[in-house]
Amino acid sequence: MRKVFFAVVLISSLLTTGCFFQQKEYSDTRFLMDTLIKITAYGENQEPLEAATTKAFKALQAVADVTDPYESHLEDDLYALNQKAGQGSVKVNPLLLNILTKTEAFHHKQINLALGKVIEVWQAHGKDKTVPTKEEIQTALSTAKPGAFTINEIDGTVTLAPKASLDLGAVAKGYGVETAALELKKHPEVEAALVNGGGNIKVIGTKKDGKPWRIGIQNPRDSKKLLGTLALTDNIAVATSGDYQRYYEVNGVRYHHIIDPVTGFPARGTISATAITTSAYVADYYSTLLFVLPVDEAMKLVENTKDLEAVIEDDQGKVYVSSGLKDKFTLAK
Amino acid sequence: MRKADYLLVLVLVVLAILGYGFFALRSNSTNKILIIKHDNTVVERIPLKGVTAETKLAINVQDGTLIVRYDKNGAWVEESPCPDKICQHQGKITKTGETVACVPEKVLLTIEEPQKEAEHDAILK
Repeated sequence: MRKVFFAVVLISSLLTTGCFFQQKEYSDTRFLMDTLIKITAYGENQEPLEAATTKAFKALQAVADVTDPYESHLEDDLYALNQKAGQGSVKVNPLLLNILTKTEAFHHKQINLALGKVIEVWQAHGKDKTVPTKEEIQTALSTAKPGAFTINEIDGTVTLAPKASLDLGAVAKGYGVETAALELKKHPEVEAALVNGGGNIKVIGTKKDGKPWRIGIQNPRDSKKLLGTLALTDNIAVATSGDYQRYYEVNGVRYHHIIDPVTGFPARGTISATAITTSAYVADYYSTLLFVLPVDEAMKLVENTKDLEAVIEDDQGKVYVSSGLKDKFTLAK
Repeated sequence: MRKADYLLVLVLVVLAILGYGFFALRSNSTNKILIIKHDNTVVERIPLKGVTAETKLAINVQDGTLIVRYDKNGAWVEESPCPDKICQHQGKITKTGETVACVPEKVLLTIEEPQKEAEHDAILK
């Protein structure tokens, strides 16, 4: 009896001082893919957490390099491919081939990876705060028609039509975040981790205290406030597409960066779309798609797609929450 | 159990309470650290408790010089050569976990506090 008493006192003393079960946290933030990416890893020892995080960033950097449309990094990256439009089949980096193949497999006409030329037009006008003419957009859009590019998976090549240009903005960051998360998962020392790429987040594992991860969604019209909070468990990814991060205004009209592939103009009707699923890459794809689709159609798609949930705010300030989020989403007051 | 055992138990309990009190007190007082990063490396780590006056810090960046100002409560970007000035518009950060980033110039300001539990694990932007 006395021994039991002794043991209880000893263990509880150790617990109070925090010598036992102390979970360590390691985090690193880097500028990558035109944004800030923060990885936080939890585990028992600092060193393996640091090593795993460094490796995860390396994997992310590889995705960033092959998907960058503005700068050359490798011989077979996206930049090189765009330079060779109209020159027949081009051997591309396996990573790039994988992103293209996977995304094309979704077959949705509201996601078009060949909008490079249209995006170029908008970026040029964004610099001097002017609005492109319909003709300008039409000319650019004509390079993004079906058949603008074809993939040969077996040979590992892509053929771009003359003047066509690819842009992976809809999926690249999500793919990068997912790649980093997969790398972290390879390390058993990492008990839990959070990869935060701003608009793309992935959580793996459970926090030591057992509480769900709390992810806030920014209020699209007030950066100091939240739209709401998601409480999520293991292995979940979330992505938000909004009109409030990258945009410019002309005569009170907001021109943001999410282009409707049918009109070639910024998509209207929705101001924030958040997709929740298991893969950060798939979440990124759907957040862009849900933003572009009319909200009724978007919500219908969510309800009919397995493992996909969403929170959407339309331009009237109405918030739509999918049925599967009932206990997981709290609207901010 | 002998007398010495009781004594050992007593010592352990006292140590535990002292230790707990020490850590609890330490995290209650402001332990905020301002971290300034440029191009993925930490330029400065400033414990805000020790800041006595408003201080100016110039960082050489791609397009010129970026000016950061900080005091014992927080920090902000006063001037940036970047085209969009989003970082300047973000204003002053004072709370743990808040950040100001100038993406074009690769400068990041964050306030961190050891072992402080934030309300959210992350914010989707």
